[in-house]
Amino acid sequence: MEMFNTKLFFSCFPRLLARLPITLVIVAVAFACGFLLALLIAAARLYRVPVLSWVAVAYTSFVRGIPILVLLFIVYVGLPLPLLLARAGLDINHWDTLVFVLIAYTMSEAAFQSEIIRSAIIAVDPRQVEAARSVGLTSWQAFRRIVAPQAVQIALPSLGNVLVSLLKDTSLAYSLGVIDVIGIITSIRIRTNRSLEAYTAAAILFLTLSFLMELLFQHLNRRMGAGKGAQGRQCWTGLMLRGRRAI
Amino acid sequence: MNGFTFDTGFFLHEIIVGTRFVPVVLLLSLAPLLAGLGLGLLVAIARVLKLPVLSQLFAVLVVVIRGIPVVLILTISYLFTNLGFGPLAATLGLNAGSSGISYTVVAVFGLSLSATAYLSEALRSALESVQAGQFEAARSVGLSPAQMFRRVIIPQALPVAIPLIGNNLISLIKGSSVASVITVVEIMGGTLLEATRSYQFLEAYLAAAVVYWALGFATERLTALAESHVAKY
Amino acid sequence: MLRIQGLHKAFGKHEVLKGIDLRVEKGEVLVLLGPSGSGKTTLLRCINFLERADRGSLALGGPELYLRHARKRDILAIQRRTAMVFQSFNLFKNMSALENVMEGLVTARKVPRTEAEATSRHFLDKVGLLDRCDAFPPQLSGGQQQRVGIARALALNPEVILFDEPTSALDPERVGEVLGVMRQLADEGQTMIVVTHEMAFARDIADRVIFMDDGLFVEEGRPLDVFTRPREERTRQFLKRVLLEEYTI
Repeated sequence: MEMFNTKLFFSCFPRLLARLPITLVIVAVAFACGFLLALLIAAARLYRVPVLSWVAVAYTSFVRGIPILVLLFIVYVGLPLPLLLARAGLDINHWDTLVFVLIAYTMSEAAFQSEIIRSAIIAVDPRQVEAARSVGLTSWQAFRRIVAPQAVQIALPSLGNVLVSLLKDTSLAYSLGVIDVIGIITSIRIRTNRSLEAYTAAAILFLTLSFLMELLFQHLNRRMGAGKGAQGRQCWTGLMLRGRRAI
Repeated sequence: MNGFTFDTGFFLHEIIVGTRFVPVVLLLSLAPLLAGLGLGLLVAIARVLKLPVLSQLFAVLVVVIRGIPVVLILTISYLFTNLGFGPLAATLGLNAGSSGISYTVVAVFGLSLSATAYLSEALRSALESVQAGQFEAARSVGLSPAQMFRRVIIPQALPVAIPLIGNNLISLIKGSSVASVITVVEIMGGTLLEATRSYQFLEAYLAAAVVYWALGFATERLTALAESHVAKY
Repeated sequence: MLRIQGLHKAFGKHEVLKGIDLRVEKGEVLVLLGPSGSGKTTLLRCINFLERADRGSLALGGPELYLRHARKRDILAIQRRTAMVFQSFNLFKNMSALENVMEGLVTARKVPRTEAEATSRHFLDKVGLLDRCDAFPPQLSGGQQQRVGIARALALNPEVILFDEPTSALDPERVGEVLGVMRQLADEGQTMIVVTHEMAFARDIADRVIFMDDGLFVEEGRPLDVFTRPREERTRQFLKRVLLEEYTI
């Protein structure tokens, strides 16, 4: 048996790319819906709402602490709660597995993003809020005009990281039967009796996507931090090298 | 589907079942962690010192490995092993089929590769976090580069590195669940084995989740302990 | 114009203000002096509700407000009629100098942007920083940031400006430029309450100085009177520590 069939490798790409939209949909929906849910969770904790904040802490700790694969299965098997939903008139058994996948990734995103949002808001100097109040802004205006913009700037790098992680995590969606970039490989294997080339092609696809996303976020970070006098910090390694040359 | 029941007794039993597979997960996370720290440190140092060919090569490798999802790294390693083992054994004159391989080893290999890439970044940022002034002070006091590294740089890089390493370990623990894809029986696989008879999958998955979560939580606590130990400044 | 009665404030078990009565007239420049921990800054922050007093009342040219139970609406009203200049400047980091000055007008008072911009430029010019109006806080020196902070306070046309150690965080060379602006404001009749350690400023500019210690007013009067003929022993001790040679008692 040969190790690697290059012709097959290249021919995989069109088939994989055809399934890319599904992967992108999962990423986009999970990130956006997760963000909205994360705002609620962060708010519950920041405002110390009596019962909700404890639920939020438990939820965040649990979801962040378990593997995404296990979460996928828990959602798939556990979500139905058939009795309740049958009463509500919904029949889950006919739902596309994609819905379960979206719910699971949304839950995961919400947990991770809520921590990022919460710590970004806390990181804003409270004296900024004092200045805002002294100028006559209400608490809400102070949040909207002063705290939120600064928190976004603080959170952006972490949110970028989380987005790239999400992209890579979606590589597990196929285990629930979703025919995405990786899910399609099963049919390639059935037809050609080989899967290594397809998996390698998929790896390159993901690699390219995450690289592009990182570039995008680097660009965004620079745009948001530009013109505000960010100071470069000198690293000891530069001095060390310079010292060598001087000798 | 006409009812929703949760067998708490079975659930608790499954948690105990799951804990029996903790050693496997520890192997799948601690071995890559050690390998990753060792190799990652070399990579980090090479990049931080900007060594001519190595630093660029490593930079590319790190980006490539970090960009590939773990499941694909493991699957590709698995397939390569299956494809390559036969011919390789034949070349070496051994008589073997693929049945002699432990896929756990393959998983450890794949996870180590991934861990090295991530840890090299963590260690690199820890090293670079030490301010330039420290170097100047060390030189002015007469320390050699090796001494400076040992007495000044590492003690100051450590408080930055420890939380990063802790996070990486937690990721590795969660990542070990992906090894189930290449037939390694870890915690989730273990709880499922018990459940296939009675179809009580939810209890199995939740129990696996609880055990994984507990491992992560323990790691978090240990990391915090280590942090407080090192944060003398 | 400003009248405070019976103001008490404690942080936990530690009582910081033990019963303050204060009257400030329109156009008056009042300087608060005292050792650290005497409660000067806390008093200032209670006036514009950055801290909530436990007891007492406040009247700013109008009805008396009970500080402990003041409603949000009343607090907001007071905050919109006063302005504060902070020791650490506290410029909004996500806005340029011009936007900083405009913020109170545009967002809190709903002044139209063009009008707010014109007003803000006027006040930035007044503090000598019109050419830096598009700079962001990290690009400005401490003295410049503080002057923007003063412009921000002025733009609101407040009835009284509260200065919380405005020059303490500045390099000595920069202190002069800020005091110069404050002197100009005093000459123009702005009501000011200033917490400071700059004794020369107090001597030259203040209409009245009050020496505070341990949460109470100890002595008050015209600067020259208090500095050269202090009546209380504690005042004497304090002045001995901080005053210039010419005033040694």
